[in-house]
Parts: sequence; C-alpha cells; structure tokens
Amino acid sequence: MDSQIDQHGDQAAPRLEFVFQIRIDLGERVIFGPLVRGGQQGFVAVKGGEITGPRLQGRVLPGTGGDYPYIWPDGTFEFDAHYLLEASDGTKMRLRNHGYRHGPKEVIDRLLAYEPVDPSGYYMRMTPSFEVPAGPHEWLGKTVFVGTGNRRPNHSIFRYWAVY
Amino acid sequence: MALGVLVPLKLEHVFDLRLSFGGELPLGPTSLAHDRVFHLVTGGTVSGPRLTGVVIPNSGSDAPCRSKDRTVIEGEWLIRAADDTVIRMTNAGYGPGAPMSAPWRADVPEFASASLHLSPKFEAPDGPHAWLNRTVFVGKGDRRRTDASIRIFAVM
Repeated sequence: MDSQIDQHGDQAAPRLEFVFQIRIDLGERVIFGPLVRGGQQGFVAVKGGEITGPRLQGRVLPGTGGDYPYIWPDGTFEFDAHYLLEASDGTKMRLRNHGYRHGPKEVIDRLLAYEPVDPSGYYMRMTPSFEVPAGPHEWLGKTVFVGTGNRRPNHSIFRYWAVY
Repeated sequence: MALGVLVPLKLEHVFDLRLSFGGELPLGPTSLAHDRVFHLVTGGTVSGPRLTGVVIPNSGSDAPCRSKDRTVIEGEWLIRAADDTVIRMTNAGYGPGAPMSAPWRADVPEFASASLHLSPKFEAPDGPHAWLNRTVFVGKGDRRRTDASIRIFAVM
C-alpha cells in the first residue's frame, strides 16, 4: 500500500500520507467555446459519491457543484471543481479542487475515449483545499494536499495525500 | 474499482527560494477575524536543479493572515530567471496559528521540520519555463522577521 511515500531524503522532501479517496458520480460532460479569451470552457455536474480512506469517510452531497475546467488553447485541462462533502459524523465541508491534466495528444485522445491508458503517460495532478468548521475535521482546513485522479465514463476517482 | 491505474505521486526538488522582507505593515484585526500583515519583498534568490535566478526587488509582498488556529499564507512576487525570463510566483498555504504578538521563528529551520506548508503557482511566458504553468507544486519553509527560506517541489 502506497500510503506513505518517502523519497529524495537528501532534499528533505515532504512526507506524503494517503488520507482518502473520493468516487464522484458525474453528469453529462459539456464543453463550449472557443471563448473570447481563447480556449474552451467545460462543465460536469456532481451527482453524488463516496469518500473512503483512513482519515475521512462520508459522501459527496448531490447537486452541490461540479467541475468547471478551463481548457487552454494548447489543450491543457485546468480543473476548477467545487462541491460539498458530508463526513460520516454529519459535518459538512466545501471542497475546492484545482489542478492540471496534459499529455501527448494521442494519449489524451485515448483517455477521453475511456480506453486503457498508462497513467505514467500523461500528467494529472491537483491540489484540493477545504472550508471546514471547527472540530474533528478542522485539520482539513490547515493542511496542504495533493492528489491524482482516474476518469471513467460516469464517475471519477480522486486520491489525496496530505503534505507533511 | 480501477485503483491500479492511479500512480503513486513523486516529489521532485525544483528550487530553493530565499526572500528578504522590508518593513512590516500590519492591518490589524479585520472583519474576518484575522490579523493581516504585509511585508514588502525586497529581494531574494532562486537556486536549484530546475530554476535559478533572483527575486526582483520590491516586486511583491508576503501577506500572511494570522489567527489563533492557523496562519493563511498569501503572497506574490516576480522572479527573473537566469535567462532573463520574468516569472510570476503566487504563494499560498498554511502555518501554525499564532497571535500577532508572537515572535517569528528565530532560526531558519531544517526544511524537514519547517512550519509552513505551501502550494505555490507560477505564471511564465511560453518557452523553456512554461512547464511551471501546468504543474502542481508544494513547498515547505519558514521565516524569520526579515527573511524566509522555502524549498519547492513539483508533484510528479
């Protein structure tokens, strides 16, 4: 289990600790443009989902947001997602996720067609942040996280690590 | 679930940043229950395997918001790379909570035990530094009253 990854010891790299994953059920994906500023705008609604992992369990609240990616003129996807989560103890929190996906065109084309793709063949990384009430989950509002994702036809799976 | 296709993340050292601060300009308590303070960034250096250069003097500010539970890091400044490319760096992240009157850390610490955890972003023109625009970064660092040291890693 890659819950803790340590490397580059001589550079004192931060320790990454796997904290949770989120399966997000998605609506129809929309892309429109070209925009006045260049590039395209995307949108996909969040219909629900499940949070599992050592540091947070719960669900994604349906109908509370989505991903509003900006697609750069060079094809880079800049993720900009926000929606609400509810922990298993009932605590509500807002997740905002920002990140990038890019790679060779033939790899991205296969990814967009949901064909199997070697995940090392493209870049998809993000850094989520949280608005969370004081209490047992407030550490989410004081911690830097990084993550990666896997895009499927009607859902995506994101895995997140805390940076220590 | 297709977990097997989610690769573990790697952190790659990009550069170390040293900032010098000018005078402290406190705003005092705000309606958001924060104490914000501005430091003019008067200069600095960038050295590392993937970027070298200087921080352009007086090109930005470091403006943390301190509260008892956490410090929210916000700042931005300009880097002039060794090839003369100008790059905008926006810094964000968290530090431990502290009242405004709390002393700054006396020593630049070992990065492994540094108290600031950062998530910086960059804006670079097309060219050899454009990879900075589409990469996720994290950093660790700390500050004294008049300077800070930050180590930046790319999330690969």
